[in-house]
Amino acid sequence: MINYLLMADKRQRRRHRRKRRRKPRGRKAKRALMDPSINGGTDIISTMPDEILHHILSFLPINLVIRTSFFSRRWRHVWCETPCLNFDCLKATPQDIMQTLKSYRATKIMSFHLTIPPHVPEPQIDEWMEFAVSRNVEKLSLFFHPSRKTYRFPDSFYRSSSLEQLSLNLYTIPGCTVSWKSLRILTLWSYRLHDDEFMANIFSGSPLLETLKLVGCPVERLDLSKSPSLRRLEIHPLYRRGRGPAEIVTPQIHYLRLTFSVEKPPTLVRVSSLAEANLGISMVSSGFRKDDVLQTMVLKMLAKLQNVERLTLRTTFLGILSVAELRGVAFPTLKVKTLTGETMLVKSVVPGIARLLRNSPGLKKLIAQGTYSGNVEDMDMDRYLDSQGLHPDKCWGSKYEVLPTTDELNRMLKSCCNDAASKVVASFMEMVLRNGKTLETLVLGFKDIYDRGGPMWFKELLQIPPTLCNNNNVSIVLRRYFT
Amino acid sequence: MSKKNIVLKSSNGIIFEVEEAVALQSETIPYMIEDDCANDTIPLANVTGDILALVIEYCKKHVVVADGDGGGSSSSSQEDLKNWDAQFMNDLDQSKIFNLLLAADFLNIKTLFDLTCQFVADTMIKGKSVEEVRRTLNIEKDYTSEEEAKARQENEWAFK
Repeated sequence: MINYLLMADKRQRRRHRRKRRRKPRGRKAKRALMDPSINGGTDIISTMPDEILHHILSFLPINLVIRTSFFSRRWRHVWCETPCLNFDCLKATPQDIMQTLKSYRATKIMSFHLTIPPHVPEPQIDEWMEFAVSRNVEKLSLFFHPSRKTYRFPDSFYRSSSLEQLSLNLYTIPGCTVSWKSLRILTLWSYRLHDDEFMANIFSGSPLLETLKLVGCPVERLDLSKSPSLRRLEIHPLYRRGRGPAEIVTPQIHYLRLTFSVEKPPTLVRVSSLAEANLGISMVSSGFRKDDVLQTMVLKMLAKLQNVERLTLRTTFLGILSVAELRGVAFPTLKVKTLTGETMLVKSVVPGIARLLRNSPGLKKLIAQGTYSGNVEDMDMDRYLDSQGLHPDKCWGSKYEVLPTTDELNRMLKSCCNDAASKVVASFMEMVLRNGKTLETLVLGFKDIYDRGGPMWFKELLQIPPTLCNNNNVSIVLRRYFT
Repeated sequence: MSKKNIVLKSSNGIIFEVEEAVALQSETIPYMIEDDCANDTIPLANVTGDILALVIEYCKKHVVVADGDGGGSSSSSQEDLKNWDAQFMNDLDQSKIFNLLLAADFLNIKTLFDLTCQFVADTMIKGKSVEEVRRTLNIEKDYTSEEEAKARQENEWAFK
């Protein structure tokens, strides 16, 4: 039995009805409010208490926050106590920053984002850091101009007891013992992490540290076993070819989000506590190289995820698995219960998904999340198969014939080829039901297609006859995202 | 999960009966339940019926997804909710938005408060000149030209 749960669509219809009914009244009210010359235009916002205004201002960059002081006398000093300082604009000169901080009166900064302009003398930065710490900053995010190579933070910075989140893009060695008693999330950009002592200093001084995010941090061996509180690890390369850690030792991590570049896939060592993982490859066209190092690494990585129950794989990762499957390479058996593919329903990922379904005897739920990010070049894939002495046509056979390449799918969506698109979805469903014997739920998400003939196509999908695989007792959920 | 219902009464006397889990997204309501007898109607003197209906619509949406989707698709259901939220806000006129914001503050529903505040910041302040914001929000300019010149002088850079 197939059970369509049409959450998004139902919702949309209901909203449509309501909108129609309410429109005339709503529009009149809006006009009256927008234009004081039409009588009844009342100023509601200025009557709100400062705490609410501050919350509204917390969603704006600081220059817009300051501008509110020109609205009226009521607003003259409201900005001075806003708990969020977001200098995300490179326009602010050191003088601007100083002037702003001089007028700023809040004793507690919830969030402070500072882009530090080039050529600011160090004592000046010291002063800003001391300011942040003295105002009990909770969330601090510092972006130094890339031209700056060194800066030594004042000791008070390493002893902030209010700091809960820190994001930093400049490598620096603490001159004292670190004591970040409240720190929970640490994000490091372009850090050279080879100094073990530095990491040990941070870990021993941050007993609540739960999440570590590393962006473009090359290191031979990332050993996190000395931070017992750490549970979540995210690793991203800074550029497509950027390097990350070569070896990852994280015995206590529960969640891993890993994006690695083709040039240097990392080795996972001791990741036995992992319960959830999200893996992707930042792919360049040389992705399918003649040697199969990458393929071996990817399969090894899968084998390491022995206890993972929730696994998300992105397009390029699935593409590599597809090639492995077409070549008949052995796959590890997985304990995964929920498998998510962040990918479009294209030919290049399907053999990989099919194989994962067969190798996951405990799988309950498959989520195929339609997204356009990270395409696999079908040509590269065929070229690779060819280089292995395999005939691409023979490999693909008739099994995957109905499924489109990435280009074909794009063309299909552009030209609103609804029939063809629903056929793709139907054959994908069939493949899933054929391979996933233990499956209870299949979720198909459709994102980004809203403006590409999406609504029509979605309706078309609902017409897919529920005759496929009558014997399966799988709930199928179609989920549409609004963009 | 218990299926107990809670009865809420708006300032203009409209009665809403909702599941406990829906109502408990408000951090204010539990205190009201403790204060009064739990079986009684909870009066919400600051919230009119049309706004309370919107609050309940929001809470219902957010409770259903949190429970019905299992742990397995947290990211996708979050995204789903985000889209729903955007659509929900887009359908409201300005006075409804402000009243919803105040209701979210009064009832202490954090996600709805964030949503409405961010919506005001994004659609009524961002990308507009001071004059345009004044017009949009009906703010009367009561500065003398001297005061205005002084304020401007202090924070000249924010206008660059």
